[in-house]
Amino acid sequence: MIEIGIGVLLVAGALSLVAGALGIVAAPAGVDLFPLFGVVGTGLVLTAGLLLVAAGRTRRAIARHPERRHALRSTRLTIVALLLVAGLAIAALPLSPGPFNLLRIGGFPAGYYLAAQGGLIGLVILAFWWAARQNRIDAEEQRS
Amino acid sequence: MSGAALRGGSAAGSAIPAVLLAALPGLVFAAGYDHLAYGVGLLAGVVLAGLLIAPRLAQAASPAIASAIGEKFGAVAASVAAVLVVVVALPLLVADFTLVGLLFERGFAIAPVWAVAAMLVAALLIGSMRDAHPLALLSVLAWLLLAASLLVPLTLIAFAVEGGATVPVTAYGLLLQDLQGIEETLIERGLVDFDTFSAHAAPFIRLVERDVFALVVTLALGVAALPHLASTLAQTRNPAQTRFAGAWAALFVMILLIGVPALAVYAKHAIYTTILNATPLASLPPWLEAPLAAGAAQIHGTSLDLFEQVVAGVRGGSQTTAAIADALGVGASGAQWQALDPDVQQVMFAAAAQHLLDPNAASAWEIYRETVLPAAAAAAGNDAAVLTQSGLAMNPLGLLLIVPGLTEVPGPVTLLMALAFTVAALAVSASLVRAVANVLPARSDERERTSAGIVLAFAVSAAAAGVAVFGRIDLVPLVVSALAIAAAGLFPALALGLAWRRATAAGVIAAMIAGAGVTGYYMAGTQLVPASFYATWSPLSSASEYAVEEFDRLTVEAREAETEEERAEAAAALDDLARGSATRVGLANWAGIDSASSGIFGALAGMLVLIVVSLVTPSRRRSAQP
Repeated sequence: MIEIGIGVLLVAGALSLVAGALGIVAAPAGVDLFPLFGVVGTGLVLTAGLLLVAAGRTRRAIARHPERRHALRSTRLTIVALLLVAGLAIAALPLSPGPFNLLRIGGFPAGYYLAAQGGLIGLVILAFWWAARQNRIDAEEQRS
Repeated sequence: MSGAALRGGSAAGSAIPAVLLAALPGLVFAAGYDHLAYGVGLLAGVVLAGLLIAPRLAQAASPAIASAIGEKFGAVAASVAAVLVVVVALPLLVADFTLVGLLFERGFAIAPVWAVAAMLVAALLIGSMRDAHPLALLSVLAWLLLAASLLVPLTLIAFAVEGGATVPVTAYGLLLQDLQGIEETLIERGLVDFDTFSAHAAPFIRLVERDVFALVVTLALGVAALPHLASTLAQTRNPAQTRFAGAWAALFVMILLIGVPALAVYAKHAIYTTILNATPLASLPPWLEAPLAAGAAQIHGTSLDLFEQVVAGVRGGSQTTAAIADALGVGASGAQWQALDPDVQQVMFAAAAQHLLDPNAASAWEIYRETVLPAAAAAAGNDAAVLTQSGLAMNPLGLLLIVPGLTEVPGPVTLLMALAFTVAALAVSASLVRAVANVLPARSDERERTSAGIVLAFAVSAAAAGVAVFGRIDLVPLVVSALAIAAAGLFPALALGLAWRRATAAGVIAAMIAGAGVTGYYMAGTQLVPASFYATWSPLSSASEYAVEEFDRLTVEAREAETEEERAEAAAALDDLARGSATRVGLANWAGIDSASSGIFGALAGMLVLIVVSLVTPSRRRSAQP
């Protein structure tokens, strides 16, 4: 339950930021907080909120329908893994270079390094983790 | 575990179309950071194929895509999937056959038709065998050779540049820093042309941000839905092993992809240093000979390949430059010749005639370097006759040809690369032949299916071989558009259709047709009839105000043209403006997405249609499976 509560609060926060920026509601104390978070920041808050709500609901569903536990756990893992693939392959590439390129790793601008090597290595590690995790879920559920 | 690793290696050897892998260093060379999207997208696709799609196929009665879809959704869905598999496999076969034809034509002076015919026979033989082991072994061999052909030259070049043994994929960071310094100096001295130049590590010069995003998604979903990749991984028939095979395949593909940006940087460093040193064209470094001789690079519109064709034309009896134009025909070389300044044509013609009089006085390369290039430079306004950034145009496939020359042992490295890409092209084609042979739905009589499938595979690959020999198609866009169709047509059905219990046959069929239709329409519209595409979708276009004004002006010109000829000319100009070019985005687009990245529209449309149609059609619960 607790993650659903926090998630709803985060979603409400993100929506109020957008509402404040659009001028639908006056921001508290007349300060528009949207520029502070930016589009990406607001998006992250919203995503985090939605994920927390989804995680909480899956946990409740698993508790209520033990017969669907295997399918629910597998679906949850698939969604988390797909989000990580998207994070590594998509977010790392188009979103990172600006601020990251100011840093250097062994001579590489950090954003360039992420796209040329870091992201690829991350994807391979993710692939092994995903395979092991799903196989463990399958084995556990078959045993029980 | 070793079984999974072996299967992963065999999937990795045929996962990436050989053409795309051969072009990758050139693509990264041309657009720097923006084209790193190719590597990330391809690898993400392998991960999705291995972990998302292959385990589902492993649970089906047959791991082939069409039969797995048919098993769950019936014969109509299987037929649509089969058509899509053929539509995706055909261009990939064309590309790999063409690559082998080019390799043998340039490398061993064997006419492409023989090389392609041999390739066709070999691919059909290996691909239509009942036993999958020979193909698996061939793919493992392809991976080993590819890894060697990318990493051995890389290590040799790094050894020469760094003056000692290093790990090249990490050591080139400092070289990249040096390259950035060279680029800054070139910019300060005004030696670059910003139409074609982009600083290597700077993001979003060639592609806009959302286009990079769309390209990654298109490539990833396209590779994930490749007809042969997931099926190869799923042959274990065991989801747990299939997942680990997928993870190993990702590791092996990563080993190939990680060397690509390093090769691009080493080659770029060598080229830009040559430009920075104001190297006279008459003393070009020898490593530029290979791409110029293959016609994969041009300097001021000329290449050694073109010069050698002129020599052949003179030998064949052409007496004037106009006769040469007739002899070269209307192909790429003909167009290249027509675009040259008449003075340059004259110089090339005279040099060719001189060369034929006394073939031993100087090699074609020396004559080209010392006589033709200075004339071409003068015609282009390059009075100092030095190598310039704007004067050197490099095809994506050309960059790889520079690499052997940068090592100390160009001969063996060239052979290794030719061998590796031939075997890789064979492994990919044989896997595709196998995928096509398996698309026909299984009947009770196993044997009948196989023979009908093999006939289909023969027809498809023979057609591909015909196009490879007689057609002249740009290979990289061809492969990318095949991947875009796979992403749009097959991915939603495979990823969501096979996994979601509520998915219905109508939903999956509609999704495949809608996805492939949207992407096919976008590619055809933006490439074939760009002006009318823009006219239809102008509110969605990312066109600049200036481009829109230009378009309106040309439209008026076309409408008010007095003769048919003027009208046709204005219409052609309109299409060119709307289509854009490699260096300029056209007007015909939705939100600035290039046609190469259009798989994202089709995949989105396919997912939406699959969900909506499945929800409004009755569920097939009675045959549902957990």
